[in-house]
Amino acid sequence: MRLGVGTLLRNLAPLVVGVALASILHFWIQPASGAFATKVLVDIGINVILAVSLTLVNGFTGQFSIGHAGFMCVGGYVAAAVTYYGSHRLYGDAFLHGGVLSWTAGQGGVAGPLLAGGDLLFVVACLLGGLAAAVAGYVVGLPSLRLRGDYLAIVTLGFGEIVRVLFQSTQPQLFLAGEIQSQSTWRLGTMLGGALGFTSVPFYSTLFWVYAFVALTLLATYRIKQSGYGRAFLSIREDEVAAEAMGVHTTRLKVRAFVLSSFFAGLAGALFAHSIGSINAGELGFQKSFDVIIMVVLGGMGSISGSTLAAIILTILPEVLRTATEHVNRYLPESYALPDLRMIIYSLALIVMMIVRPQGLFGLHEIWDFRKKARRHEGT
Amino acid sequence: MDALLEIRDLSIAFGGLKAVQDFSLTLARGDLQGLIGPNGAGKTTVFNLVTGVYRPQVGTVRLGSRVLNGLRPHQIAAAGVARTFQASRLFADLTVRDNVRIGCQLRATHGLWATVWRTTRHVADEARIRDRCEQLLATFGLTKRRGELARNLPYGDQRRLEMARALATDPQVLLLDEPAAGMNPPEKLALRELIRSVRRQFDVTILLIEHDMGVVMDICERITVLDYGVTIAVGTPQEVQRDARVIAAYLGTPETEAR
Ligand SMILES: Nc1ncnc2c1ncn2[C@@H]1O[C@H](COP(=O)(O)OP(=O)(O)OP(=O)(O)O)[C@@H](O)[C@H]1O
Ligand SMILES: [Mg+2]
Repeated sequence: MRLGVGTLLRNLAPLVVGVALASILHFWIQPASGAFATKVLVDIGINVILAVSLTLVNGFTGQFSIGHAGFMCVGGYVAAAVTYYGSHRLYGDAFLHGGVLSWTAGQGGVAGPLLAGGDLLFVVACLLGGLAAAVAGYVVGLPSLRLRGDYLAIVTLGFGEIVRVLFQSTQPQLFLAGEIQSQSTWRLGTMLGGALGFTSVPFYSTLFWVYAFVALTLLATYRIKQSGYGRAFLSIREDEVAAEAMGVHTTRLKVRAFVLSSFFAGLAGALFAHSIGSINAGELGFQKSFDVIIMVVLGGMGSISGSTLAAIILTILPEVLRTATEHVNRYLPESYALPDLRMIIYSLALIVMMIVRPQGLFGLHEIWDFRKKARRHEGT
Repeated sequence: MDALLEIRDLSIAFGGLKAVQDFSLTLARGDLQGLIGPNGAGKTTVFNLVTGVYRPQVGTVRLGSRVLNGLRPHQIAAAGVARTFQASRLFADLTVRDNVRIGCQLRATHGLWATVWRTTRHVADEARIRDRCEQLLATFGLTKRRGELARNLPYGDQRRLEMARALATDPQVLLLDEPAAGMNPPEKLALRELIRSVRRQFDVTILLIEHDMGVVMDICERITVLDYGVTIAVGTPQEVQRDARVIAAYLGTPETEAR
């Protein structure tokens, strides 16, 4: 295939910009912002990946998956195990072995070179996590997407529960270097910490890595949406019978969208595990899937920028609410203290949304589509 | 003339209702034939059988030498049979342009990977699709409306968009299900010319379901008449119009009175 240097540059330009922005966040914003803001920024990035990837299925193809956290979990565990045990195999411990990109200011230690072996280990772990989730997506999606109707919802709900039970019944995690060295790799794969979750995962998920992957996700999904594939996905959601009549292989495309979506969910899980240093299937149940669904529904079923915006708002909002409630509660007698308002506000927002704008804030459109339309109206 | 689409002894029953019985019809390349009959006669069901929406319980459908029955609808579309729908099934929340481009996509060759990396192949494919789409929109007088959502089009435009979208798949055979429904008289008049020119320009073979006799009798060379799933007449427009059973079927009562 002919591929000129110019084309290559043009094709990769958005990714280069994304990586540059991630670097700015990492090298300038992070040191100035403090630990709490950094944590919120990381959470935002991860939620953006989750919401945008779910939009691929729930928004583009119009199927309804409610087990996104399950795929996140698969990716998270696989990636965590790869970095943790892999690090033990390679370096004899599970500390950070990355360069400056994996090194958070204020964490102590010395910044290394730009890239080091640990970075490669981490990136490979993230991709393996995504691939594992994609395989799970294929296994779950193929049978359920062949059938019409809401089988996917039921099956993905079940899948989330199965994943939880499976990971919670794994063997205890190994912590001693000697023990880890003496185990076979396959045995290590079953030692994922059981009910306690998988802990001591090195903190590779800096703002740089998180936002580099955010850029990759946004670029891939946006390009898909703008292409024949995206239009074919949308045609399935619009009218499956007509889509088939236009030659769209609906089953295959639904499965592809689902597998792709699962891949990115797994990637988000991997970043999540390396951001808080642990992953526990018990904490990533239906509640987490529901949070992501709300982001997609609010942002607009099928809008990438809308889902992104909703993910940002709905990550910040709970933090604000929590601070506000704590603040108010300080002045209230204990028996009148306000409970956690998050779920109440979410539910209300969802109800209002369903009544006022059932297609979500942006529907299918991207935020900039509206500016274009406004300009056109002015013109005429 | 060689047979392009050969439908033989097609039958299907829904429960006890024999919707289509022993239906046979042959389209030679370049034909423009009509399929008429009173409401509920089974015309749309024939289209659904040919395009794989329903599986025939008996009978065969052949396109050239290829057997179509048993294939999935998207495979039949790929084989070269396109259709429009009686009750509009446009992609309502997509633009006019995207409706057509989805049809064009069938003949595109690039994969998902090429899409994400915007390879030269992808760019060339998309450009080709864009050109073809513009050409189709121009043919159907939809160029000015290309950016509008399909749901916002006036009814006549929706009917034309259905045709444009079907042609976008680059078919050999085009099945039109009541394209004139909901059109006003001038539009219906223009439709006759449009269908004729489409056949010429896109080199397609057409089977037309239509209730508007003005359209059918004017443009079809041969007409098959269905009533209660049974073929009651086949012939030229003149022959069919004079056929006693056809008249009876459309007027309803005389046949029963005669008995
Ligand atoms: N999926 C189905 N299940 C049950 N009955 C059906 C189904 N599809 C069609 N029928 C019945 O088959 C008969 C033929 O229907 P069809 O839609 O083919 O008629 P038509 O000739 O297209 O009529 P019209 O001119 O009103 O469009 C009708 O009695 C209809 O109710
Ligand atoms: Mg009909």
